[in-house]
Amino acid sequence: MILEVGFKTLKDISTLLTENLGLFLGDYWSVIESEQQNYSFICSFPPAPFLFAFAFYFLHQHQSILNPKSNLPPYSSSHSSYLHPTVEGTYSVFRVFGAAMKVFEVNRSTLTLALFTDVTNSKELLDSMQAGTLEPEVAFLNAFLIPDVFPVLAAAYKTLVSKSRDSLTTRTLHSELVYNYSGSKHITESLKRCGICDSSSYVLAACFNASPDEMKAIEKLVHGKEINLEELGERADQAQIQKHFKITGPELTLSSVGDAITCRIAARDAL
Amino acid sequence: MTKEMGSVGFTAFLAVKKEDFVSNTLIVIMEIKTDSNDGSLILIKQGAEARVFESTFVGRRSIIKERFSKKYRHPVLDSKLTLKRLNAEARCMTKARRLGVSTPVLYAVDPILYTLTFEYVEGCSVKDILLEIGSNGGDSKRLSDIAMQIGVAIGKLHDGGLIHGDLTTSNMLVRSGTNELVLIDFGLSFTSAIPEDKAVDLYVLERALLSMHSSCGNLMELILASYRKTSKQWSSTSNKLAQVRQRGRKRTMVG
Repeated sequence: MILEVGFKTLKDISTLLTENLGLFLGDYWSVIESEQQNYSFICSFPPAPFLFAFAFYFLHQHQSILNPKSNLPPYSSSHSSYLHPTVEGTYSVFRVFGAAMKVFEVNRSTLTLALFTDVTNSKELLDSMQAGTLEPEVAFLNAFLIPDVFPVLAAAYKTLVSKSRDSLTTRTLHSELVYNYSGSKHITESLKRCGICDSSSYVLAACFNASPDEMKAIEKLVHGKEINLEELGERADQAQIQKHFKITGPELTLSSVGDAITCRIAARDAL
Repeated sequence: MTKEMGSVGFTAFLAVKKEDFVSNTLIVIMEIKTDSNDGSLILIKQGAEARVFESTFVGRRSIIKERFSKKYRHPVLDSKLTLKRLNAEARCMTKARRLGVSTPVLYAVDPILYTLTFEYVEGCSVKDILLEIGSNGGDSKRLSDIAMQIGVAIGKLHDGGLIHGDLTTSNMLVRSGTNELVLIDFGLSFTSAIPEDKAVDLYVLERALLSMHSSCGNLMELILASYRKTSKQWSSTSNKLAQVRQRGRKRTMVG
C-alpha cells in the first residue's frame, strides 16, 4: 500500500501522523523523497483500510499546513477511468497524485514508472543495459510511442504471465516488456523502435517490483528531468504511433490511440 | 487519536474523499489492492462453448471469456480446436475494429487458460432495448437509429471480408452515454468475401429479428436500407439473399 503526500517537510507529516494517529514511521513505513517535495510512504504490510481512511481524512483536515505553494498540477479528470470502485467508498487508484514516479499493481507484482525528458545519458544507459550491468534492472521505452500508461500495464501483465510460466521470449523480464509493448513479433526491430537508442531524450523507465531504494536509484541513473506521467498524452508522437502500430483512420474514430495499441498488444500472438 | 477525529467517523471520510477526486487541493491518494485477475471473478453467463465472468484488469472493469474443454472430445483434438477458436475470435475482434466497427477493447489473450479478457461495455443489449420498445411501444426515432447503426456496422464488416457468423440482437450492445453500437461475440466469425456467406449472415439476423422482435415492425427493412448505403457489394449480396430466403440457411446438396 502506498500513501503519497505533498508536504513541505518530512517532519510535518511524520509528527502529524505519529502524534495523532499512532502511525509510526519506521517499523513498517519507509519514506521516499522525490524531487517535487512530495513524500511517498510505502507500507510493507497491508494495514487495515480504516487506518488509511483515517490518515486520509486527517491529512485533509490539515491541508493548511500542506505546502500551499506546491507546484502540483490539477488532478485531471481524464484519468477517472483508472478509478474503479471496488468496495463501496474505496477506490483503486493507480495514479498517485503529486510525485512524478508512480507505482502500479499488476498481477500481484508492482510496476514502477517514471518519465524523463531531456535525457542526456541514453548512450551510457543503452551500453550498460546491453552489457547487462544496469543496476537495478530497468526497462527503457521510447516514450514518444506511449500515449497512455494503460497499454504499458497491459504489456506488463502479459510479461508477468509469461514469466510465471517460464516462457519469456527475450532474455530478461524487462526486455520482454519492451518487446511486448511493441505489438510486433520481430524482437530486434521491437527493441530498436520501442526501446531507446543513443540519441533518445524522452524516455519512460519501467521497473518490476522495485524497492524504495531501487526507485531512488532509478532517478539517479537517468540524467534528465523527471516529469509527470500525465504528460505522456500531449507529448506522444501521433504520426509515429500510427505508423508503428499500423492504426488506420476508421479505427481512431471509434476509440483512443491507447485502446488501439492495447488491442494490438493483446492480440499479437493470436495473429 | 484526537477528539476531532473521533467525532467524525468513517462516513464523513467517505464523503470528503469522493469530492477530492475532482478538486486539486488534497494531496493524498491511497492505493488499494488492485489485481488484474484477482479472485473476484463473478460468473455472468455460461453458454455451450464458454463461460463469461466479470473481473478487473489492471484497474479497469473487464469481462473474461473462458472457453472450457469438452470432455467428450479427444484431449489433443479438444485443445487444438479450443485454441484455434480462441485465436480466431481475438483476430476477428481486432479486425472488426480496424474496419471501423466498434467492438470491446481486447486486453489480453491467454492461450494456456483459454481466456480472452476485454473491456466491460457499460450499456444494455439491443435485444433488451427492442423488447422494451416492443412491449411499451413508442420511440421510433431510437429504433431507426439503432437499425441504421446495425446496417452500417454489418456493411463495414462485410465489405472488409469479415462475416460475424452469429448476428443476433443479444450480440449487439448499445454503449450508454454515446449510444454507440458495439458488436460482441466473434466466436463464430470468419473471413470470407463470398456473397453466399454474407447473405447467410444477413439471413440469420432476419430470422432472429422475426422470432424475437416481430412487434417492432419491419426492422430488417431499415437495417438493409442502411446496409445498402454502406456496402459497395450490395447487388451481389442482395441477389444471394433472395436465394437464401427461398431455401433457408443450409445449402441444398445436389449429387
